[in-house]
Amino acid sequence: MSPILKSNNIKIRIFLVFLIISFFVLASALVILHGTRNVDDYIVKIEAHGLPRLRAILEISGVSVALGRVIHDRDIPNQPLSEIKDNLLQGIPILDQAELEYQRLVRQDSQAEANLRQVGSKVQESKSLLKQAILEVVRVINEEQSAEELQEKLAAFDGAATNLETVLITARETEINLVNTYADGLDGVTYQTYRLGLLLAGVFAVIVVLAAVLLYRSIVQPILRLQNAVIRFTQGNLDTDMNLQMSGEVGELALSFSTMARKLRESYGKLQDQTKVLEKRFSVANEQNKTLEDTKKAMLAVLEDARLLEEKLASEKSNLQAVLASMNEALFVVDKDRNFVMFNTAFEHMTGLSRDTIFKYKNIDDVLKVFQNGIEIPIDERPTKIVLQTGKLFTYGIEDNVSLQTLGGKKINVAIQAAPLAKDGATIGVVVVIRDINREKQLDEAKTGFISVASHQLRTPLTSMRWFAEMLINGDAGPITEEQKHFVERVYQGTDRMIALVNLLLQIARVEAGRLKVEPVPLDLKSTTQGVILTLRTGLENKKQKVEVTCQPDPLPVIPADQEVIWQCIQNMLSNANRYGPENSTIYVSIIQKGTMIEYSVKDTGIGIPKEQQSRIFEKFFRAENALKLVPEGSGLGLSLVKSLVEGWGGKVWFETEENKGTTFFFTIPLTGMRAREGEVRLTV
Amino acid sequence: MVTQEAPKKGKLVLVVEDEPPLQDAIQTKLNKLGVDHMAAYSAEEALELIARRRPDIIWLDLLMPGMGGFAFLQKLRQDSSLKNIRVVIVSVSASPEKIRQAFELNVVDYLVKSQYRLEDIINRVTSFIA
Repeated sequence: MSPILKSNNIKIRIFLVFLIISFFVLASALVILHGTRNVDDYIVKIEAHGLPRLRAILEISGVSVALGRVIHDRDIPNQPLSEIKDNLLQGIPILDQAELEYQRLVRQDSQAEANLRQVGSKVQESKSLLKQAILEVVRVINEEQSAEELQEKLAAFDGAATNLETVLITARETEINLVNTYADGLDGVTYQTYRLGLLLAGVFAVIVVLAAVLLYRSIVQPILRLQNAVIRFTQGNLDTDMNLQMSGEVGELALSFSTMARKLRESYGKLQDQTKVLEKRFSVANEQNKTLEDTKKAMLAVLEDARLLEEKLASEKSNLQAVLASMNEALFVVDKDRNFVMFNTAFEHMTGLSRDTIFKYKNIDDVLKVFQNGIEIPIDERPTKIVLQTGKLFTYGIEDNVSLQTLGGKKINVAIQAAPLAKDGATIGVVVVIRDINREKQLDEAKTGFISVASHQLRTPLTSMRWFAEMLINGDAGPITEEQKHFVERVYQGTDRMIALVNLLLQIARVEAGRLKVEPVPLDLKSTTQGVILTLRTGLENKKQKVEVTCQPDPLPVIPADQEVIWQCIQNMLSNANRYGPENSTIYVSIIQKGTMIEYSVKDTGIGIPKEQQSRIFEKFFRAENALKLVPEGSGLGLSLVKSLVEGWGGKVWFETEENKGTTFFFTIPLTGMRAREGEVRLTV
Repeated sequence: MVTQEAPKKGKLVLVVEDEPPLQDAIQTKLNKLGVDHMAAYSAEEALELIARRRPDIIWLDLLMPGMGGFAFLQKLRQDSSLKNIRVVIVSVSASPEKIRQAFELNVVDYLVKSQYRLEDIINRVTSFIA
């Protein structure tokens, strides 16, 4: 397509299209008009010249033939010659007229060809000859000449007629040829015109179609697309790819529309994206909301619980912090590498080191040295190390005589409790609580001192009383009356009881102070029991009592126990049975292994313990009414001491009793026996 | 009821006891029994007496103000001229620890005051110098 037609201006385009069409129509009209004129020429040549001439020739020929018939129709009976002569004479003007007409036609045809004129003059010549022949015949007839003459003249006529006929044939053929030529020409012109017309029509059609297409494509189609786009847009389908690559006003319109559409689409796209995002969010939010709704109630409940828990935790946390901060004991935590993780202010105070210093030195060995009995404990045997290795609690008590020396050289007597910090079964650190026992040590020493002093200070005057009473009784201060002796003997016995009471009190004090030294040795309970029975022999014999010892199994397993402690227990139980059992009775001692324990029992058939007083039987100085009545001099301390001793080794003590029927006292001791204990004092004072 | 044994002639007993009532009782009884003796109310005093007159046996209390029984005993054992003097401990304490410690320092006996009659203690002490 021509570049002009690509012009962006629709007006120009339309104008150009119509200009071309108009030009083409004009050209076609001219061409067709030209063709039509040629056709007219040929039609005139044929109709105005050719065909009249041909008719004239045929006229001449007809007249000639008619004249010949006039002459030669002699067969017709009775034909007078005069009639033939008249007919001939009548025929001559017709012949002339026909020939003149023909000659006029030939002359009339200005464009007549040369041969046509030659033919015309030949026709004139032959007609003149025929006319002369006719006239000769007529003269003969008129002159009534001889038949021969007539015959001769008739023959001449026939010759002239034949000659004319030949010329006329030529003329006729010439005319026919001419008409044929004209007709051919006419045909050719018509055909050409027709072809040209067809061609023009075709071209025109093509042009019109092209123009239509052009217009359609350049105007209608874009407009339609635009329209469609607009329709789609108005229908809200912004996704449609406009592809409005058009030129001209529509192009511009399309371009602006497209731009607008693009912008709209972009914003719509953004909007859609945002919408999608929002939808997604919304759906997510919706689901969450649903879930939230579902769990809301539970949550509210949980929240309430959580709030309470949080409050509790917060209070516990602050409690814990307060506890840690206000603890007199120093507390610190080390990790697996024994580096400090945390510690409380008491630890800072105890060590006399600042927080920064402790964290600077980091490792426990750089901050603290541990001593036992004044000898430094090797790093591998220190409490934190042992706990990390064993994962078990490790303690150093007061009696272990452990002290710490800090980085600054400060020395402190301490009790240490190191506990594993476990997570998922693994020891990840150690929590250590250190107690400054300097004060306790002083108190302890004071206590020990008190017990020593008490045992000395109380017993010394008692001893002197006892000795002087003894001397009085012995008469060392001169002879005394029986009554005086009896009185002094009461003083002596009272002093004796007082000494025993003081001893028992001191024993209990030692046990309760946890200061008793325990030295386990392999012990056979049966032989120990028999040893105790021997010491009680006098009392047993006085009441004629027997003691029956049963062991199960026999022999008993040997258990590690402190002889003095066991002895004291058995002695107290047996002497009770001896005191409160009736005369001539049997005391049953059963030593039975039950699982990992040994159960020791002493059964008497004595006064029993009144029901309402059973619960107080282990109280210090408590004595049941019936016991007080029977044995006024009892101290009420024996069972209390037994209980303290038994519980001290981890055993249990109890009794079964029925008033006036008897009592059985039980205690247990594990087969593993007693643990050694580095106390300061033995039971015996 | 009490058999009065014959006094150990020429044998000297040093009684080291800080408590005057006890010392009084002991002196009274020893005099009655005719046992030659010296009384010291402290370990320091005992050392002075020993320096003047060597006893055949020492009756020693443990808990005393000042030097105390054990310190006295140790000092005695470190002195080559005195280390062979026999010593009987007569204490209110029955602590096995003390008893063990005493026997380690080569005492001939350890008696708990309150558990014996005075006469029995004297008999026991004098039995070593018979």
